[in-house]
Amino acid sequence: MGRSARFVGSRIVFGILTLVAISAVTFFATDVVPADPARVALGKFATSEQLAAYREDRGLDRPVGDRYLRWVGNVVQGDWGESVLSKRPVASLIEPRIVRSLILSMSAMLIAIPVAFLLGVFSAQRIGTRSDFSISSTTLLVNSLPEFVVGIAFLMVFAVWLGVLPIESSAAALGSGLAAVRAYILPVMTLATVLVPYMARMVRANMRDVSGQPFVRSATLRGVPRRRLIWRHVVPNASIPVVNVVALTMAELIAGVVIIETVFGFPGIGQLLINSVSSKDIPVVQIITIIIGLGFVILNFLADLVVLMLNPKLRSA
Amino acid sequence: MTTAAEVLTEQPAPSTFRALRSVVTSTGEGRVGFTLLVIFTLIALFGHQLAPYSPIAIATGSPNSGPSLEHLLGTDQLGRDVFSRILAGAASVIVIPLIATILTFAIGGSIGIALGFIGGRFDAVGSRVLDLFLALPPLLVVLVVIASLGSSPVVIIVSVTLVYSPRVARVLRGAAQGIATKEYVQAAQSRGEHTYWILMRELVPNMSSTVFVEFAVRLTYAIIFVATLNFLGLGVKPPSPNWGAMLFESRVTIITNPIATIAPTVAIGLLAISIGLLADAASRQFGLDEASEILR
Amino acid sequence: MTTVLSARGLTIGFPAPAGPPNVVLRDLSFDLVPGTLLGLAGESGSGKSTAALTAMGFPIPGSVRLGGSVTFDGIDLLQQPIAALRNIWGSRIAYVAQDASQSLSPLLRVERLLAEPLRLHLGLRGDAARARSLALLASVSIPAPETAMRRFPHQFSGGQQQRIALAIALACEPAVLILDEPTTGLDVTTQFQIVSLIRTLIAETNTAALMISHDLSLLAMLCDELAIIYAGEVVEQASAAEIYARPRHPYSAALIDAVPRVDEPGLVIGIPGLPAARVSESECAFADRCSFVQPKCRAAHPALVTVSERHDARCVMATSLGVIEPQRQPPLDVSVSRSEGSLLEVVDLRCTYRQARGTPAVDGLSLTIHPGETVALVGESGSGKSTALRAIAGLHPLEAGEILFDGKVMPSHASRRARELLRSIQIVFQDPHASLNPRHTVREIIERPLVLFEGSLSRRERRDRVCQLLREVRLEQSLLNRYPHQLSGGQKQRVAIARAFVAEPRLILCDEIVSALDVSVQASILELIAQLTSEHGTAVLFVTHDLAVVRAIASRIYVMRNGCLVEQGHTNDVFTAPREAYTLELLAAVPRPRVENAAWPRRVRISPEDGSAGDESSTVGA
Repeated sequence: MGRSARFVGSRIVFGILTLVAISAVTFFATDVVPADPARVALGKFATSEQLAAYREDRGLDRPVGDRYLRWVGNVVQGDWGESVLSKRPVASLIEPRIVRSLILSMSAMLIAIPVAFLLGVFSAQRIGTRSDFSISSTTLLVNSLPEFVVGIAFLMVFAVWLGVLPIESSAAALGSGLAAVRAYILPVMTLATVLVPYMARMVRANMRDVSGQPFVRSATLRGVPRRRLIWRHVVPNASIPVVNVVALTMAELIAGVVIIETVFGFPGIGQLLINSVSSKDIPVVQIITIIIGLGFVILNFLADLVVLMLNPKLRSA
Repeated sequence: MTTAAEVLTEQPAPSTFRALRSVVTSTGEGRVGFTLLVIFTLIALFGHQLAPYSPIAIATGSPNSGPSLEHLLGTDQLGRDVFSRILAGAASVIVIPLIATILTFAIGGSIGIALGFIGGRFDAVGSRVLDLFLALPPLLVVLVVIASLGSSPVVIIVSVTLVYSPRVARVLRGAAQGIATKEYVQAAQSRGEHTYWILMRELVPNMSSTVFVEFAVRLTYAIIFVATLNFLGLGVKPPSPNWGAMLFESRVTIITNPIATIAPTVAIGLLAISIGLLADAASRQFGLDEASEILR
Repeated sequence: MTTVLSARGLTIGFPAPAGPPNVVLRDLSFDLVPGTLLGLAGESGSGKSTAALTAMGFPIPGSVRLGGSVTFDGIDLLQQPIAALRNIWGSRIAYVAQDASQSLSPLLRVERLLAEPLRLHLGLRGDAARARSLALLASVSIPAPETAMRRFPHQFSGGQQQRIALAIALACEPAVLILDEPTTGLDVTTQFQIVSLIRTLIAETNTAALMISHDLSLLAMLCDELAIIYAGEVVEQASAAEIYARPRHPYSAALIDAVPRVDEPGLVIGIPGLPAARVSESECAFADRCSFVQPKCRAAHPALVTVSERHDARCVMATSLGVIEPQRQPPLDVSVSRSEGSLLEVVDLRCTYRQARGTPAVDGLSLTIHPGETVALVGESGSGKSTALRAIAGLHPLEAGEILFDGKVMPSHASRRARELLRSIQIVFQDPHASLNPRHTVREIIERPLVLFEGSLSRRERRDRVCQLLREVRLEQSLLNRYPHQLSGGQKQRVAIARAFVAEPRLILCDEIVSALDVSVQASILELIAQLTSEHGTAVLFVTHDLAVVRAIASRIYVMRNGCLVEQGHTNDVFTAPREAYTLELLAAVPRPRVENAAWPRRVRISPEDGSAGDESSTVGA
């Protein structure tokens, strides 16, 4: 039991460190802004007194370390500042979008993980056959493509050519009922499609690896029937590395959300992030980064917990 | 334990070049990927000359017109010839990622090899730090950097290098570790060979297959990454005929002028697929497990 | 003599890229009788593993069945569909794999692993299954069965894992038990416990057993009947004692001569050439290596003939040769004049493991080596012998103590040692496949020490020296420009040895240099080392776990256990009259051929492994 506690403890510490690193990188990168935030906010014609007042008001003239800590303090307490561009509180900009992005990403994962898993197990059992070859080729091709290419392709097929789904998904925010749901379909489908190939390939590779290991043959030689062999002996062993793979796919999920939202005009925080980066709306960029980073760290931690549950070697000496 | 059957096989000397060549010639994937890559390289080198129109000249024909004899792929919303833009835009799709990947290997590779070879406490601490860097989502970091520093080529190269170096370091660290523990390296150490000699003659040559495959894989990701940045409007600025940027611009006219969107999409897709096929064939040939794909 | 399983004419091959399939096993026939153990002895490439799996009817992936049958319970296993075979496997015929980590699924608890066959084949569940599982664990001497049930395989030591594998195999009281090198990777004392257990269980349950191994002495000690396989065919078959006492096939005799014996001093004799991998159609497969070869041996493929009662041999010369007498070389003259002073002196050496700081790997070792002397450092796994060797080589840091060479203290790290010192101490490693840089030619490999340590030599002179060394290690000159992947394990080890000797060192460190090689190749390498060291006057520190090897070549031995020195002395003294109980145990556990008609088992007491999860002491008694 002590070993498990130590493992969990170390992962928590690591997660916190990661979050600190993300926040530090975010803050210090944006701190080097060549553009004076005061000038960006107040415009070209602001006088030097106005600029100075703005800076002092926001503590922009204090040393860097101080400002960082102050900023962290603010964020943690919920004071997220204002958007430089729209002058509205960052929180109000973000809140509705977070929910939509969460729905988008969670739906995509909920679809992608089982599909990838089943595809992987299916093709692993039929190695060398035509179906395995076609699955492998397809996953390889889709895996090689950039996310936005897949997005545009889907857009062309379903929205332009077939015309069954809306071209852009602003209805997710503005529309209601069925229109809103339809606005989700294409982004979710695309995101899931982008996530599946890599995971499926990993599952297949791991299944293959594990199937080749001697203990599987020994189990066969004990008369264990095929079904049981696969699900009781092979899959559990193949799953452990796959959970790690899923965890690593989180990073891809983030990129995926940002890109997909841009392709489809989906009103989530990914879209907001890109807009803010283009317009150098620093406060918004900072907050979104922290939030996404937090989500990322939490998901990774959950993945670690799952691995802990699955792998007895981590629990005991 | 070997058997007589394994003795004195008429295999040639171990040579990475020969192995790579066999990847291309003997696998279907290798052939297709290589062919596509050659086509791409030719376009990148000579595209500018071959283009019938200047890629940035506007109003060469009526805007958003479909394919015709004068404009093989039609024109975009500013009347520029799409075909010319595709031909001329090849080079820029690869230059920045290539430079970034080379830098990544220079930095990340040195760190990784050092960690793997030296081991001990240096590695224990270094790996931890590496893990921390690896935990940062790449797109996020780059977006933040671009938000504050803009999206000039230098910024993009530096930030991509920054984000990918830890990943390359991790992979090469693993490879270096695997070799550093081999007895022939230890024999060299017990002879008192200089560290430099051991690295250059014992360690690195035996890592070359890993390095090549990882380079190809990393280059693919870099190309995709930079193309994505361009697509998001955060890369090179118009009117540069970069494929990703073309998509950024043509998205708004996707219904009226699908070709202007399809063309760059297909181009990028084919490029990515070609390198992907080669990398996959190579890693299969060298028996490297797909774990190297993990660190995107 | 009721036969329970009968194999006739088993012939298996693997498809070749062009032409007829490669035959790896030909015409194998044997019978298994309840309560007895048949041993199948063969080196690598002999086809013995294929034999074991085929005896169960297992279709080896990629193989082609070219003939033969396996009759069990009135049916031919080779004709059965997999579904029918699955009913037999695990319930009527059981298989135990090479090492237990290969048998036990890492994520299943012991209780699940045991319950599986019980439920599948006997339909036992719940309390009945549990009771039987506990009984099984007790029968293989697993301590605290209740707690053991809830544990995972990785929580047990290697020996315990193998016992659990045995328990699972015997769960349904099979009629036949097939063991494939079941003691691979186990210490000699653990090995003795496991084989004793196997013997006892077979007798108690009246199971018919087949055991595959490359270790001839182990099989000679353990088995009732013995079949020796060479190049896919049985070359001699008789009772174990009969073959050992009166071998009729030159290969069997040569194999017996090649195995180092613990009870007699005397250098082993290697078999020239390499173990053949393919069945030969037109001549005797052993002809190239046989010291009795005649023209008629190459004229036709010899058949298996009966040479005496219940004793078959596949040799056309069998009748004329009669019983082949054992050959031994006289023991080396290993006495050394002490007046020269010590060459290497280790004083109270202490080292820790890199991974586990604080656990001592070597805890206070002191030893001395005199010029030209061969000293052995012996111990089981975890004894610290390899760590000590590496420390002497400058590859492992010292926590305390000193190492002196020629009376002067050496820097602990190789990079800080003077050139002359580096030249004087050379090392040969265990794994021949990892000892040579795959990208260097044989010539570059052997030449390197000359480049480093004798820089004054010209290219020509270096080349001549390399050629000379190749001759000394008995390799052909044509190998100069080859790469390691083109050589066999034995050849690679010779290159490694040539590299060690080329700069005329004064001390050679050998780290288990023969452990990864076939017996016949092992013997040649030992011969080679003995010869080279006596010709060049080099001292040797020989690290090994194999006591029998030590007897053949070392003049003095040091015995280590858990990092500490347990016993030391002249080889003959230590072997004939050991002072420490541990040494006695080690010696007793070494496999020796059974004296004819002696009852099994011998009475030996083994104390528990230190630091293990409570392995009980086992007394093996009749």
